[in-house]
Amino acid sequence: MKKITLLLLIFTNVLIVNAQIKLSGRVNDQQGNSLPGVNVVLKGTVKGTVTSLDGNYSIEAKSDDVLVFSFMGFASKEEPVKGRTLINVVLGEDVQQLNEVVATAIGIKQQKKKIGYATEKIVDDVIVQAKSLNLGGALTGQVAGLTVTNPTGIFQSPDFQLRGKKPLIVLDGIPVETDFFDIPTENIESINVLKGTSASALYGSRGKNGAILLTSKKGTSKELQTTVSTTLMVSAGYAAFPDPQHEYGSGSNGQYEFWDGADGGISDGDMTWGPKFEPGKMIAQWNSPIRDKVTGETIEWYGGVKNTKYDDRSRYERVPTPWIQHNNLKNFLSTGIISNTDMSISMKTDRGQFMMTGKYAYQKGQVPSSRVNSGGLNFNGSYKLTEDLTLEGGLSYSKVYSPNYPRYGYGPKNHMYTVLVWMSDDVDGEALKNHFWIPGQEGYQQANYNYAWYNNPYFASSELKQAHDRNVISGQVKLRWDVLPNLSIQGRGAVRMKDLFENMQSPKSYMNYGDSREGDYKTWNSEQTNFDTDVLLTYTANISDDLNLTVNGGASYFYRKYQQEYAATDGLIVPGIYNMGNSQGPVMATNYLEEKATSSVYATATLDVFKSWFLTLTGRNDKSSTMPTQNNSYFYPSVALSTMVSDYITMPKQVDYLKVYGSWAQVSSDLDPYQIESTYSNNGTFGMSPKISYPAGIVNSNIKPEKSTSTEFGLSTSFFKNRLGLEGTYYKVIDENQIIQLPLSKASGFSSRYVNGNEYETKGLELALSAKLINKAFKWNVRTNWSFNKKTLTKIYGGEEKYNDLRVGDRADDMWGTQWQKTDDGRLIIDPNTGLTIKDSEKGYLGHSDPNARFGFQNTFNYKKFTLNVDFDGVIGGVMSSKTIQKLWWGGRHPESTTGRDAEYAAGKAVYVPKGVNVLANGDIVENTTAVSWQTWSQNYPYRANVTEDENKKFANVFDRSYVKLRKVALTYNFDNNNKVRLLNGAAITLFANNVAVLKNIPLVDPDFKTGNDDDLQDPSARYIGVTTKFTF
Amino acid sequence: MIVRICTCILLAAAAVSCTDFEELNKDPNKPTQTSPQLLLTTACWDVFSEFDNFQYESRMLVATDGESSEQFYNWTRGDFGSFDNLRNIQKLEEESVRVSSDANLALAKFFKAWYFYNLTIKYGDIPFSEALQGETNEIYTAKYDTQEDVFVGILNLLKEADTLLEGNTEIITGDILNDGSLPKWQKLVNAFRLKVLLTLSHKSTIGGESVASRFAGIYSGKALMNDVSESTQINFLDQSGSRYLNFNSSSFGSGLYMDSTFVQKLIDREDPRLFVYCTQTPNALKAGKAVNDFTSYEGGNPTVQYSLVNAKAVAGNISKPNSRYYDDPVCESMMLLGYPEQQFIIAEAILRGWISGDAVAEYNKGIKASFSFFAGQASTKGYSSYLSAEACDQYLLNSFVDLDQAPSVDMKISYVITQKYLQTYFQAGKTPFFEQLRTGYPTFETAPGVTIPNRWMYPQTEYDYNKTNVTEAVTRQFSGKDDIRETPWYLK
Repeated sequence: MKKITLLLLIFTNVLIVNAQIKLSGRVNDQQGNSLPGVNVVLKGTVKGTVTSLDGNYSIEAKSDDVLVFSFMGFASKEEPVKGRTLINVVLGEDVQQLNEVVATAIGIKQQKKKIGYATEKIVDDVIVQAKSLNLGGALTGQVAGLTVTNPTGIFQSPDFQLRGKKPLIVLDGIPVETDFFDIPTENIESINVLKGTSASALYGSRGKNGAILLTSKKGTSKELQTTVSTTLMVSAGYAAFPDPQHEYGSGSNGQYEFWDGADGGISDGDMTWGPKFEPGKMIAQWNSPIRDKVTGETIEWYGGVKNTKYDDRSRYERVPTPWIQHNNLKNFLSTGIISNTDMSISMKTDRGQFMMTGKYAYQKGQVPSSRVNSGGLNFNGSYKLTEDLTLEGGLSYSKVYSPNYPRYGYGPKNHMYTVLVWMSDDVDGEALKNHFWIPGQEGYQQANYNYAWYNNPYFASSELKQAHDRNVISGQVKLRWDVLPNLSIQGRGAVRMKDLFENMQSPKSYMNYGDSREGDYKTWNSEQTNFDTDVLLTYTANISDDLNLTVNGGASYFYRKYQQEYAATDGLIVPGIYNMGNSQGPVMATNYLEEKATSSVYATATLDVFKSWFLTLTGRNDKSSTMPTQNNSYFYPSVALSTMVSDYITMPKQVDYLKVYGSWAQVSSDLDPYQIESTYSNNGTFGMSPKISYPAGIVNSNIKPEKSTSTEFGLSTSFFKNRLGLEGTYYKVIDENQIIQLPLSKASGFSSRYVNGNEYETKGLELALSAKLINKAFKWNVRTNWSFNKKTLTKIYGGEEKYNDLRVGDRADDMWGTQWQKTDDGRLIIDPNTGLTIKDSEKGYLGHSDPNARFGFQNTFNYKKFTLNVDFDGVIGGVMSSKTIQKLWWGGRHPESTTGRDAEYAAGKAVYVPKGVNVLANGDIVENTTAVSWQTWSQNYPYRANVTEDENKKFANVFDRSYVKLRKVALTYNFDNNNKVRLLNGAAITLFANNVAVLKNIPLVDPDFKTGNDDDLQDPSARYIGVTTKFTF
Repeated sequence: MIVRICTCILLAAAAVSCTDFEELNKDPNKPTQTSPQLLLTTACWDVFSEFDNFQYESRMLVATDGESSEQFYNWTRGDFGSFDNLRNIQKLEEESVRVSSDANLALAKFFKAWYFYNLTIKYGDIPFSEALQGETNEIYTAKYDTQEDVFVGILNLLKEADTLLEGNTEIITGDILNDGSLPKWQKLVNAFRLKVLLTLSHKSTIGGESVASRFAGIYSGKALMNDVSESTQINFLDQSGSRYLNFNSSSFGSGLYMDSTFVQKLIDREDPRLFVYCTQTPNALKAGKAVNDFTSYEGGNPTVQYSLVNAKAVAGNISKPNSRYYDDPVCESMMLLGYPEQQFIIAEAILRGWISGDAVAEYNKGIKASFSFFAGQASTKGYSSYLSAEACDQYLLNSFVDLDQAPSVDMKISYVITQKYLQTYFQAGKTPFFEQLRTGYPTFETAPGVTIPNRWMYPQTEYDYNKTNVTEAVTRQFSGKDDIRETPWYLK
């Protein structure tokens, strides 16, 4: 690829005609001050220079070239050369950026001032600097109302929520279903977020929750332009690390001895409540040698002795070995590496343009043998077939491939489950790494410290392989005919095909609770095709100078097909051969097909009055295949009004402009396919007899579409010649006719039934403030955004008192959970028989899970050719429960779990008396005096029910979610772009650190990884540092 | 120009072209109707899911890694999970009616009776006459029937099942328990009728009829199991979806030990089934003691703080469940209601004077059948010599076993119930617990001030979604107090 690039470069350079004029000049502002750092570029190229400290520049140009002068905060200016050798320029400050055109629904572009609803464009730097395998994370904290969460593991995708709902992702006007691993970051020019429902009325039900619009790059340079950029980043420490206790090892009640790793020795089946690490302590362990009591011979051995001649305790024993601490979690994780190389070639001529990009990215995870590769090629271009007929097309191919990536969630398949929670520090990780198999049972039985619940984590991460191989091809063709100067019609077709092969290879003896331990091979082969086609007619009428009308009308058809074939062995005959033919039992196989279609018609009309009032009306009708025939066609309207108040009311001179807008919109949504008829499911077989079962939910053959109505008001203004900008939006959404699975009394035979019911009201406020704090040679710009929202349950189906845990008027995100019984005045009740707390049979209120506020805070510092970005974001309020912390207490790995042990082991009996009261049979309340084993207490009180921070700080498992994260620090140096180096037009180097640090309330885990509770046992939240270099030719 | 127009028209046509949307939304992957045989297999498999528990409440096992609410008798609410199984039974009934299969209909009635019986002894009053009609009659909040009405309903269902099976020669498939043998099913139905009636031993009448005479009528007039081979049981297979319920269960590897109550009863009687049930203690293994050395088995005290039991385990002095329960994929068959249990039911009825007969002979048949059941299981090959007919004869002479040596009728009943108890390890779910509630045998020790609960509290979901009806049931039974120590009707 590189060779081709070079050849192209040489070729184009030859073509350049050398009739160059050397010209120079000076750039001033309106007050006559010289402006340093102004970009001076030959229009249609990337050739250019910047002004020096005294505002002077010099450049070579041809007589018919045009110079473009641009500088942040100033209006750009163009000057044709026309043979001159001296061109001095005065730049005026740019007072408003509202003439900027932004992409809106179905690819219709509009001037921002005409838009009557909230949109927000992602700053270009953010896209340029997003160099991980997934673009999504880079959007964190950038847009008011857009919540992005950042899971910490390799190949986990960020989750998006826009105003609390899942937004549609749209690429070049076509909705795409993507996790962002198959979106080519280098090909994205701009990202615009359309918030709320009115922005998306034109995407139909798919866009009911707002949309994130991605627009591909286009060729802009008259000369062939090539860019190459490479990034290398490595993990460097952690923003949050769950460091367990390091003082005590495996076992229970301070005792341990290994025999079979399943409680056959002394508490060798589970838990880290064993002996303390002390010099000279010797204990029989999983890697201790075996001694023959008869002959006195010792044998080196790793793991258990089941099914060997040594499984005879009357003759053989394990020779105690030193009881030493190992830092297993830190040792298990290695340095993560991400490398990313991308390039682009583009060109624009009078009749057309094209852009070609390619990339290859590689990530090595911190977990042993995990890796992801992704790459792709994209082409898009347009060509004017005739003066009034334009053809546009794009074709892209992406591949995402991982030969092995880790699993998360609470269970044996997650390495963190073992290494963090259930593998104690006495276990020698290095020995586990070097000994996968029990001697003589290679391929059949893993060597491990435990045979009840856990796998050797090194064995598991290397031998259990989970692979993912995805190919995505998408193509788009658009033909536009400008019938008249004010009438155009376009037709468009797009196909996106995703082909995915996944498999899972489990070695023999791999444990996953009750699953087969005879080895296993599973494959999933799936294929998804999305087909979108539409026609759009646009008519513009300039009725008078003060009255302008634009009408769009269109129709579209969407078809989606998904198929999957699944097959699985039942045990493997020969170890290590992952093939269906190697199955011990019958191979299980299923296939699945799902189809859906929607056809729609829609229209919009925009009326410009006096160039300062803009009224937009939209209407859309969808017909969906997934709804009952009588309800499958539904209409939704929207109206939006925006006005430039500053155009007709004289503002104080400090105010640059003021725009006010408001909108009202309705959207509807449908069901997934096959939800209106009850069908039996296959539950496998007993022997040769199939088992089937009937679903627990009652369907509703008369279900209606859901309806959301949103109203929003906003304003946009700037002060002091654009030094200070403010945008604010208030919105209210009423969700009615929700398609809910209403829980039922199980006595009905069913757990739920589909009904249209419940009503929710969401109110929110979004603010974005930007300021140029310092605007001299040194510049400091800040942007900050804040969002507040609250969703309330306002009606329950059938006027019932409760819906799940909620009553009318409750927040929809209120969390209720099992708590311990308390007296009326809130004291903890302890049962004197067991020494333990008692579960309350009624659930208690824990708080609400969504934060009160989310914010982002971005700083850009500029000095000469240096740019420094420092980005923060965070949340305030909300609560989350932590399974990690609960399990660490239970297992004896919690850092605080060390406190009560020594005293109890020294006394030889329970000495810990928990603070609480006993309720006597006569109702009297007395102070608790019953001592309870510290281990028993730790395994119950902080584990088996919810404990809030208010109840007990030390044992809490429900925490305030608040945090502030230093998301990114990036320092960029832009080299001269004036061809000093032959061929090279520009270069930039960026040093950066991502996920730098977090200030948080919850201990051990990073609250940023998810919006809900911490129950997936995440990897430590790694910090990455890296360098990006970019060259433009 | 013509090309342009055509293109536009084509695109427009594509955009509005309508596939048949209704057809598109028909699920090609799954059926909306089925023949009953597929549901019968489900029913036969699911019915054992309720046997998949660790019998802490029956004092067979203890937990040492956490407090088991069953072990400490401080549980709160139960759940209505059985209704998930009943949904498929309801469909079995509907599909049987659709294809006019009396045999399948009879089995559906039996399974219904089975689940409702287990529900009512667990809670008291339950939804019965209006239950399971969410889909068919849109009854989403079923009223609760009194426990007596539920028992009458259960007995009626079983009577109908018996009538439908009488002389029925239909050939049914999908029967993984009795391989289509309707006579075996009919014997099961009648044995279960005896069990239901014996559960009412505190009552003299049910639905206005004498409990004893109804029992006697079935005993004398209906076919019952004649030997252990006629037990309805599931024989597990080493194949996915067909393996023993606890196969590969990790729970056995930590914190799960034998309860001293159960172990001591077996030791007292020198009962060789002990070897089949549990392991020798680690200390006994280290000392090289023989498998049939009764001193190599011990249990943990279920009434003390579990850390103390753990300390005993750490010292190597407690037995664990036999490893075959989790490392043998077919382990042992599970009897739904086996011949041994039927015999103990008959023996008790004779002792109570409900029927006449030879209680000792019926009782001995039950014990012998239990020995031969365990001896015949593949995973117990190594133990079969301890379970021989001679060993059983020897066992029957033990003073705690020999019914003739029991001094009173009440003591004789305690012998019978104890034998029922000793054969239900990993076999009968909570049956031994409910038998203990009914008869007081065997004695279960409790911590000071703790009594054995009589029931479970109604599920929270009933209070959430069927509040009026559950509240009414609690009011009429327990004066509004939904408590685990309130006494349901059948125990009064």
